[in-house]
Amino acid sequence: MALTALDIYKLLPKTNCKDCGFPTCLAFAMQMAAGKAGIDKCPPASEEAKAALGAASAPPLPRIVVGTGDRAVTLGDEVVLFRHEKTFYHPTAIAISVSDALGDEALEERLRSISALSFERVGQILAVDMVAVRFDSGDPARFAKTASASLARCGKPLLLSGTCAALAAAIREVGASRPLLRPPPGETAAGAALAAAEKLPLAVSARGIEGLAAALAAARAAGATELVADPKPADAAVAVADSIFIRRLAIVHRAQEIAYPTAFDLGQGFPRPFEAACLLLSKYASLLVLDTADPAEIFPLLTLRQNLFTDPQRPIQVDPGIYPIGKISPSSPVLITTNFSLTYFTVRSDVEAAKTPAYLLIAECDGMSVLTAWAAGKFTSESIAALLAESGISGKVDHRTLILPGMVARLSGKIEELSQWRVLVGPQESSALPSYLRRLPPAAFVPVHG
Amino acid sequence: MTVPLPKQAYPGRILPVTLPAGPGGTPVTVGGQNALSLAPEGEKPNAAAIGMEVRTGGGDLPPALAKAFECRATDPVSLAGACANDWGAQFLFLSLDGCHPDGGGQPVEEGARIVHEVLAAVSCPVIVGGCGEEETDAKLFPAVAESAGRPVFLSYADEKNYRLVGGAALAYGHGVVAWSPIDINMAKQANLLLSDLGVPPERILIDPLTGGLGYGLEYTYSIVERIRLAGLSGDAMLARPVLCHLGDAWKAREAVDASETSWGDAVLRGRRWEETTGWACLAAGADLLVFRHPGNVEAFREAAWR
Amino acid sequence: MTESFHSSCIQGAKSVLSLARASLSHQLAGRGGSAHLGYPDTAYELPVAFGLTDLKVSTLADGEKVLDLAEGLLRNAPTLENALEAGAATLLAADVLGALSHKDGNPFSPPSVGFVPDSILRKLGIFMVDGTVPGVAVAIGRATDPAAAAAMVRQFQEIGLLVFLAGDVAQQMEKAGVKLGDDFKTFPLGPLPAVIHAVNFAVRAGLTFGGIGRGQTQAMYNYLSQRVKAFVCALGPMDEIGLAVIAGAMKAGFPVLADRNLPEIPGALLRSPAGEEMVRAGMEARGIKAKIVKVPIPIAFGPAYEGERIRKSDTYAEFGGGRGPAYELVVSAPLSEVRDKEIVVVGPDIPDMPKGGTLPLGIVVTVSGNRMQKDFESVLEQRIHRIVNYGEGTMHVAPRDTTWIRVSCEAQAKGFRLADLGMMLYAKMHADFENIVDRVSVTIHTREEDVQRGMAFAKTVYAERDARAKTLTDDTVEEFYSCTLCQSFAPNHVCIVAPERLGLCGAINWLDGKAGYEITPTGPNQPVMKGAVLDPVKGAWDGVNAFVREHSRNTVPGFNLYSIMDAPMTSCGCFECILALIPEANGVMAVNREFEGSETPCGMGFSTLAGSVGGGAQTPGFMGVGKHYLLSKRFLAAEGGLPRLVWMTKEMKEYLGADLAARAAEIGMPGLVDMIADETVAVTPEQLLLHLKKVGHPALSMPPLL
Repeated sequence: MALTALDIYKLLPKTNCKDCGFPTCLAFAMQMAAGKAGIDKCPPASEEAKAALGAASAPPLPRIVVGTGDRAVTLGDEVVLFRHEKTFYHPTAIAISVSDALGDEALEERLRSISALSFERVGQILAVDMVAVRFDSGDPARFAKTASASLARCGKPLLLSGTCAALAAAIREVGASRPLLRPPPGETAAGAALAAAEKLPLAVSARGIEGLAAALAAARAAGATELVADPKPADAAVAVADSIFIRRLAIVHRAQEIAYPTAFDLGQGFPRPFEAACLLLSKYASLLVLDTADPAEIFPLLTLRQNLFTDPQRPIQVDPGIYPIGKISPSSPVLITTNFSLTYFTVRSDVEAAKTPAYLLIAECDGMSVLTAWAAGKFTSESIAALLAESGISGKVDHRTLILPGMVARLSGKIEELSQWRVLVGPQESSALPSYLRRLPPAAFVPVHG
Repeated sequence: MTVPLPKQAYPGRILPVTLPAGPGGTPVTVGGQNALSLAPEGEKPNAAAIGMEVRTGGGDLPPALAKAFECRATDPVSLAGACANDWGAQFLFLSLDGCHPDGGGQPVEEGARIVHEVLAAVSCPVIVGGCGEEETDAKLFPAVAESAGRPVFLSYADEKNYRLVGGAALAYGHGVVAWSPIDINMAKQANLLLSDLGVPPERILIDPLTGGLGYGLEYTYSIVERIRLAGLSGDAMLARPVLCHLGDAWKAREAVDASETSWGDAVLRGRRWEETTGWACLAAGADLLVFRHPGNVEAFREAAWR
Repeated sequence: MTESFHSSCIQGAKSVLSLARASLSHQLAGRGGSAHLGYPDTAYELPVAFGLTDLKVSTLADGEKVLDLAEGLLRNAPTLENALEAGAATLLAADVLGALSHKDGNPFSPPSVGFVPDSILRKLGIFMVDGTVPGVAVAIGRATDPAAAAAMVRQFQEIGLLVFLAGDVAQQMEKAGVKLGDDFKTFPLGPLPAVIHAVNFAVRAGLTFGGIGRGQTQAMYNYLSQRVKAFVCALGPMDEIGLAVIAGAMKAGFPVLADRNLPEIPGALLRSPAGEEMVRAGMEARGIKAKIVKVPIPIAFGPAYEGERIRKSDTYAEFGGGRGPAYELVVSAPLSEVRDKEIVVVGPDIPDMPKGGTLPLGIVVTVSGNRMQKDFESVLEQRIHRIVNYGEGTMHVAPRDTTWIRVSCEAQAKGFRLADLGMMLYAKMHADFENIVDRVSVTIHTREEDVQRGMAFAKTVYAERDARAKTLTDDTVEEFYSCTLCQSFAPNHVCIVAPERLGLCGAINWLDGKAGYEITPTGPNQPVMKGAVLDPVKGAWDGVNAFVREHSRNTVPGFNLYSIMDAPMTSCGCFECILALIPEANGVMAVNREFEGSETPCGMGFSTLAGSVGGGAQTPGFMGVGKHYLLSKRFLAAEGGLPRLVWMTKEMKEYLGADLAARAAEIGMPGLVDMIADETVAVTPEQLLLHLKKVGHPALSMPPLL
């Protein structure tokens, strides 16, 4: 299947010219093998190399970009069926719908609520990605105006759902923003011609995989190249089946005629849209259109997406530093752990459960858990002593007592030698923290002076 | 144009496991499939089973649950009755949290008595969970096993206590939930150890530890997929039904905090937080799901996957 | 004597049988053949018949069938085989007799309990499965010295054994004030024949906890002999019935310890004086281990104290560390030569020392166990470091004859002595190596001459071990060991640890893997049978490949242990260093985890390389390895070995230092190490090539790698 870095290296010019931005041809080959760079980055490559590597390094699921600039959304470009095999690269895009039949005030309100769908979790901003403008008014000009207002108010890429006449009108207003065009199933060929002429991505809708394959062929025949597939399922069960089969056809069977990113419209009366959204996020959808803009529903969906699209080998990290928990005071205990998000969350929730206000010091450990970080030399007496000295924690508490994870008890003595802190060895498992903290004598945290 | 559907066949099959019911109740059978969840392929004789958790020992309820339980007595026996009879839970997961030293510290006998009463009050299958405190559970499981009066599943057996829980199950004919901390090899080891002990395979469920949405769910998601793929590929020790207990979803601040207005209504959000965790687990391959919110039981029981 | 013993067993069986016949006829006459025969409160009819035959027994007439079957087992020739069959007949007949006697409930007067009901079996059985009740002691007969017997039973109780008493010993124990009953897990059953209730208890344990069904005779015998850890203490003189019971016990696989002159049968019938010696013999015959719940020493003990440092000013006593001779040694010995828990201190002790004083120290830990192997001695010895550091107020640095131990003033004030150090070692060796260690004794010497003598011996042991490690090669062993600990984040990675290629994390060598497997047979270290050699140079075996395929869940078809170019081993993420091909130089470079720079001749630093190589992928041209693999004779054997090494970080060069030079000399290239470039010489392929040409590095003239 995939070429190894060495296979690729053999085809490269081996001049270490650095034009690709990497110091050696070998380093570039490693990046290509990982799917992180393409042969187009290597100007001196021979035509044979370009031909051989271009095909081999093409992702089984094409990459479609909607929108422009740093808010552009990438659909597709995935290489595996299960995230543990590598990772899922491009999070399912979520588009919230806007009807062009809304009055000005209602439209304004709707766009405001869409813009508000942004949440911060573990240092990442989770937000919806696109606005889906629906052509309900029957008036192409109004559709164009709504699209234009959506773009202006939200600044997010657009999905334009409407007849070709409506799409053409909207393109005149917002075409430069690279919207995704979604003509009705009956207008696939005309829509494809429009997309081809404007060099815009096109969502092709047709019921079922076979219908879709035919419609996609028609769209290609009409000159459209950047395609997204919408199998128009009747319910969640069919939607998930279609999504699974299309992804398998792309990754396993390399069936190019159907290997496109998928889009699903879960609005307009689609049954049980929340259930469908959760399952399609789990099972390969590239784009979902939702009618709900309720943060109570969007926040969990975005969090699920954040979870599933985390690289299994690159855990989420929290920022190193001082985290106060509860109503802290200068005599609150100080605990330390690593910046692996799961470690942080677990310790934090156990400290909260203890109902003992405390400072949690987070050490920079490349997102590793305590034992792994210790084994890798990232969570050491030296690094902990340095954090105690440099984090500013000594200005926040008037004692000098640190609670160390029990797993790394062996660091305690050296920390005491390297810093002015006394070390108490905490429990090995974070789950024992509540009872540990409750039983700590207050005398453990008496102020030091001088 | 014809596009052959890429249906996937696997050499293995998940062992069917039946959770026995009381007199007049409906037992729950899960497993038996030879395909992944969701995809319309293979044989899937049993749909995922939807259960509800009942906790002893009280404690504050998140806004979403407080609302859902409104006007109901929340003592374990009444709540168990409501779960089984009114809200459609196919099985109950009775967590004896009240026996935890930090959670009220009910005596072990009290815990065993509640188990007995709940079992008398409902006829559906029951899984009894310990309080999570090692020493207490070491006394709790034998007491519960003896006083149960009808077969239940004991949750859970891990690397440390499997002999005790396995022994208690063997003594009185109960089943065992084999727990491991999001690790496929430890999941396998737990099953191996229980098998060596003599616990019959059709009385073992796998609990891979379910992280809540936003708090490690992705690890559970992948471990469940890997366990299932291994089982379907022929690894008999992993070809067992998987139980996902969604309790951790309610530990998330995002599921319970009513103070952040930009996050939307806490009542709906809490329910959705648990529901989202549940759908992801179902997609990954879970065979049994344990909820706390009655609305989610309804949603999952009505779903098309049944 | 043996013959007469056998024939007595057979005679005894006949007596039991005729007693049963008489009792059965009596009841048949009175109640008729269809009258009920069985014990109260059990689901298993006549348990012995249930478990050992396929007879279904519910009536007196059924009882007759059991006796007929028992009678059929009897042969007169006084052989061991016939004696054991007579034992089986005894068990069957005695169970019929026992059930007959329970027609109206327990026939005995308190405290004798007679038949032990299922409810107690279930309750206690959990703890037998759990190991809290580590075994079963059955005392029968009449003790000649009741006080000694009482002390013995008390010891059983302390250990937590389930105890059954049958015969006069039951009254003797009651009289001696031994606590009896449920709470003490000690059950006086009744007169000698009532010992059958211990047997039917064990049989029911097999039926309840062993998943054994009716009439699965062989499975039941296996369960009795392997899972029920029971032994019988036969006290005082035995009549023929007593001997038949003993034969029954032996048939069931329960070792019998007798304090009288009976013929010894290895593993089955042993002679031992009643008392402590019999306890020890019984426990050992069944491999029962008493759990040490708390280490009885005056200082706190546990992992929390591992990192504690003891400053000079806080030191009360010091051993070794350049201030005097000191060594530590773990040796194995046959069971008969080790007295468990024997802790001997020879010479002056901590209380004899002034503050800040120092003494010579020789620690010898002697262990024995059926699964202990000489190769594990070093693995156990390495553990001394941790064990000593677990004490609050004890600090341990450095191994073997460089050891250095400090005891704090605080520990001394609490009364800590060297015997406590011995106790720490004793308890923890048992706890940590439960599966391989049966007996542990500790000897500590502090007299200069003793320590010097001991050290001289220890040095010969160290030297032998080092020599053994050198002869331990991939060719001389049958099996390698796996490590799948990293599959939590590298799902398909299988580490294969061979004598000449340690784990890529550097933390586990072949011996550790082997010991790891013995300690936790279901753990991450599993034996990997090499199987047939596929390629001796590249290091490929079909057994290894099959294992890798299975445990990578069919994603890695196999690999070559000694090659970086052709199907190299996968890399998890914990590797100590990464080897990377440098095509321009026709060689490889090595960069270690601690190296923070990003400039190396392959264009990638450690972290960039780790990102591409890790995760369980097989990446020809790149591979994570343990640092010490560079010193192995099998280092990149497929590509020509050490001469391929063209660049390594300065830090690694210094770390491997003399060993690397020695290895270079060994292959006849004493100047090789100086030819290998580091980051001070070259950080680009061009600079590297210039350097290699200048020094004439052998890699340039080796066959092309690509």
